[in-house]
Amino acid sequence: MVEINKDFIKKFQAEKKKKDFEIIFNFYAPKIKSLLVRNGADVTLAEDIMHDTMINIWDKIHLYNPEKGSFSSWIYTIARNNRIDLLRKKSSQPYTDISEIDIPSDNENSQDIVERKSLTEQVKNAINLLPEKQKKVIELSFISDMTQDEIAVELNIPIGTVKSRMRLAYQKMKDNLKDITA
Amino acid sequence: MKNCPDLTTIISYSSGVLSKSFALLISSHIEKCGHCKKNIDRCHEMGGSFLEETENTDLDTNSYALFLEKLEASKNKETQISDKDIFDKSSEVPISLQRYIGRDLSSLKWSFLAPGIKKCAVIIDQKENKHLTFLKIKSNKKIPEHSHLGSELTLVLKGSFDDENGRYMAGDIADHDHTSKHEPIVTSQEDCVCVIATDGPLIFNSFIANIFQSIARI
Ligand SMILES: [Zn+2]
Repeated sequence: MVEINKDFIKKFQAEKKKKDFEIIFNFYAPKIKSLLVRNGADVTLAEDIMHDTMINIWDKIHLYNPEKGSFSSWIYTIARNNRIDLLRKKSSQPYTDISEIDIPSDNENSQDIVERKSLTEQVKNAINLLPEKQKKVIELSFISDMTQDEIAVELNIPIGTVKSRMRLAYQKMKDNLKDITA
Repeated sequence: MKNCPDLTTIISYSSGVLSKSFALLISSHIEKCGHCKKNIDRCHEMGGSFLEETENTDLDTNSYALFLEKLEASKNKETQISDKDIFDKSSEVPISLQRYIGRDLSSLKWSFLAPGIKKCAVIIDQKENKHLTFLKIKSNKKIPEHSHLGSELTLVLKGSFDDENGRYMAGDIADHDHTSKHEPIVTSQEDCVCVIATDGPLIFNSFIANIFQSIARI
């Protein structure tokens, strides 16, 4: 299987071959659809929204900059926006996302050559190292699309506890990433 | 940037669960704040890693072929770039808000709220009846108290105000939940323009406004 690494993405950005996109599609589409179904979309709607998301990815691929983050995090933001717009119906206009406007982050360019794999693997490892309670609030937020209030109800804990677990989880994840992104 | 949103607000922004009015103020803030932008980048990496870890579900048969058909069809649709989508980075209005209020704060339709204070409510989502409340306040005036449920974000667009936590300047955000009491006062010579997002409807209590007016006269 071809690996979706930096070189592969660069090549796809330059050539935009449908054959190459199929590899991206085969990796991400089943996951994007899966998240939609988990969040209450029926399978037909989920397939539709997933298709729309993949069209956005095709259309916007030139905007992806590997120096700003991993390919998966970029896909995640596009999938998230489509999910919000089409599934939650929280907004009648696209969720404003500054990812399409070039805004610099602090501490940039310190280590441009972070391979997609290594960054994503590091984040995964960091999340897996979290205590179960902290991991749970992050999961409910990122995978189950729950607000802090909803998480508090779901876990039957005060909102202050939700917030403090979120902060701790984030801090630990950040500490674990220090060696590659600080 | 000194005054940033709470980290948990940043995390909720990244995971996409903030209501639209809150999300707009956060994205306005990070246009000017590299610190929060970096935090959001890290949160997006968490999202990306969760996405990769998600178990696959079956796609419809011929899903990719159907996708290609839809892709072709979408290419034939002309993408309309309206004037509203042309942004001005040098404007005092953050890019994130320009789609809703244009590029010029003075073009807002201000109405009287209290002496020295004007307000303007801008609908950002018809369906959800979500709006942002803009306030324009003269120097040395207090920002009027208002009632709301849940949390509230205030973003400064122009001028500055002080509260017990310090000074808030253009780009700064005050991130308050309903438990906090604060009495901001405008400290800039020029008018302070800020925008408020709340969970529930924002109601300026006329009783409170009256008290505020009498205090302002002292
Ligand atoms: Zn900030």
